[in-house]
Amino acid sequence: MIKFDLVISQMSKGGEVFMIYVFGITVIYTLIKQWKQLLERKRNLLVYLMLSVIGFALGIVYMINPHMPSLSYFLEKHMK
Amino acid sequence: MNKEISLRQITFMFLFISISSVLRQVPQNLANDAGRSGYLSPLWSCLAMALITAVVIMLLTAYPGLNLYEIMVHLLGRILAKFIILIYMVWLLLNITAKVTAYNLTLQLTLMPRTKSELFMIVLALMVFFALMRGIKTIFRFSELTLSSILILFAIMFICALGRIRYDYLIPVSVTHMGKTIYAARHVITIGGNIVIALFFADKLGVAISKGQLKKLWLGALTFVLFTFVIVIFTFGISGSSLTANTPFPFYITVKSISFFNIFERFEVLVTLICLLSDFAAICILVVLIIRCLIWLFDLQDCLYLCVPLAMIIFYLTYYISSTQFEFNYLYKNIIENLNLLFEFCIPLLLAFISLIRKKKISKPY
Repeated sequence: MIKFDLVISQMSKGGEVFMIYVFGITVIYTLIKQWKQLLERKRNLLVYLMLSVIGFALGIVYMINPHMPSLSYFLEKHMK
Repeated sequence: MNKEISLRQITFMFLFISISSVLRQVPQNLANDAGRSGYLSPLWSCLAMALITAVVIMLLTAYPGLNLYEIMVHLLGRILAKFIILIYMVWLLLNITAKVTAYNLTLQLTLMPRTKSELFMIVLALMVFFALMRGIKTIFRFSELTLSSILILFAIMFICALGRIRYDYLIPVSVTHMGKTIYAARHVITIGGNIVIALFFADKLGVAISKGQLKKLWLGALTFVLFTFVIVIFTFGISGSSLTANTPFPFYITVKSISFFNIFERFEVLVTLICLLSDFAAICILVVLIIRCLIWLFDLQDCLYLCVPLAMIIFYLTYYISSTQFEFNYLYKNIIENLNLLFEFCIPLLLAFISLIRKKKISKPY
C-alpha cells in the first residue's frame, strides 16, 4: 500500500529531493519505452544518456548542498 | 515541400511569447532607467525592431527553405555553425530556466504565495509535454487562436482605464532625459528580438514566401512596439514611475484599480492568466528550439524523448540560477538582456552582413 501521507509530507518538506526519484523513474521508463528508437542510432542513446547524467549530476549536487549560492548571487558579488 | 507552419503563425507566436515579458519586466526596467520619461523608450525601439525585422526578412528571402543552422553551414562552414548552435543552446537553456523561474514567481506573487515552486514546475512540465506530443502545429495554432482574444481584452481594459490616467505622471518630459530613454529602449529591444524565431522555423515555411506573408512580420513588429508603448504608458499614467520602479509586477498593481463601469473588477486575475499562457507558449517554443539545436548539433532524428532529461536539467537549473525575486531581477537585467542582444541581434546581423558580402543565394533542392 502506498502511504500517501508520507509521499505528501516528503513533497512538502523536500520536494526537490523527492523529485530526483520521480525523474529517475521517468528516465528509466522512457528508456525502456523508447528503447528501439534509441538503439536505431548509437548517437540517440548517447545524447539521451549524456543529458540524463547531466540532469542527475545537477540534482545530486543540489541534494548534497541545497544552500549553495546561486549564479546571480555569485555574479552580483563579483561583478560589482 | 510541405508547409507546416506559416509566417502568420510565427508572427502571432512572437507576439504571444513576448506578452509576459512586456507586462512583467518592461515597465519596471524603464521606470528604473528612464524615470517618468520611460514611456518614450518603446518608440525609440522602432528603429532596432525595423532593423532586425529587415535582417530576418532578408535572410528568409535570400535562403528560402533553409533554417538558421543551414544558413550558417552555407555561410560559415559546418564546424563553426555547430559551435554557434552549441552556444545558442546554452543561451536557450538559460532563457527557458529564467522563464520557468519567472512563471513560478508570478504565481507566488499573485495567486499562491505559500505553494512551493516544485508543484508549479511539475504541472508545467506535464502541460508542456502534453502540448509537445501533439506537435508544434498545435502550439502555433493555440497562439493564433488565443492572441486575438487577449488583444481585445487589453483594448477593453485600456478603454476602462482611460479615465484613471494622471497626466501629471506623464508630462512634462524633459529633453535632458532623452538620452536615458534611448538607452532604456534596450529593455524593449531584447524582447522584440524574439522575432528571430522565424529563422529557427524557416525550413517549415516552405520555399516560396510571398510579399504578403513577409508584410505580416512587419505588422507583427509594429504591433509589438505599439503594445509595449500602450502598456508602459498606462502603467506609468496610473501607478506613477516611482511605484512602477519599485514593484516586481507593476502592471498587475495598475490593473487592480481598473473596473468595467464599476461592474466587472479583478482584471488582475485575467492578467495573471494571460502571463501564464504566454509563459507556457514561450516555454513550449523554447523546448522545441533546444531540441532542434540538439538535432542540428548531433545529427539526430526527431527525438521528443529528450524532453525528459531536459525537464530534469531545467528543473534543477532553476535552483542554480536564482533563488529570490531580487536575484532574478539582477540576473534578468544584467545577464539575460545582454545575452538576448547578442543572440537575437548581433549574430543575425553578422550573418546578414556576411551574406551580403558573399552574395550567395542558394535554393534548397526539392
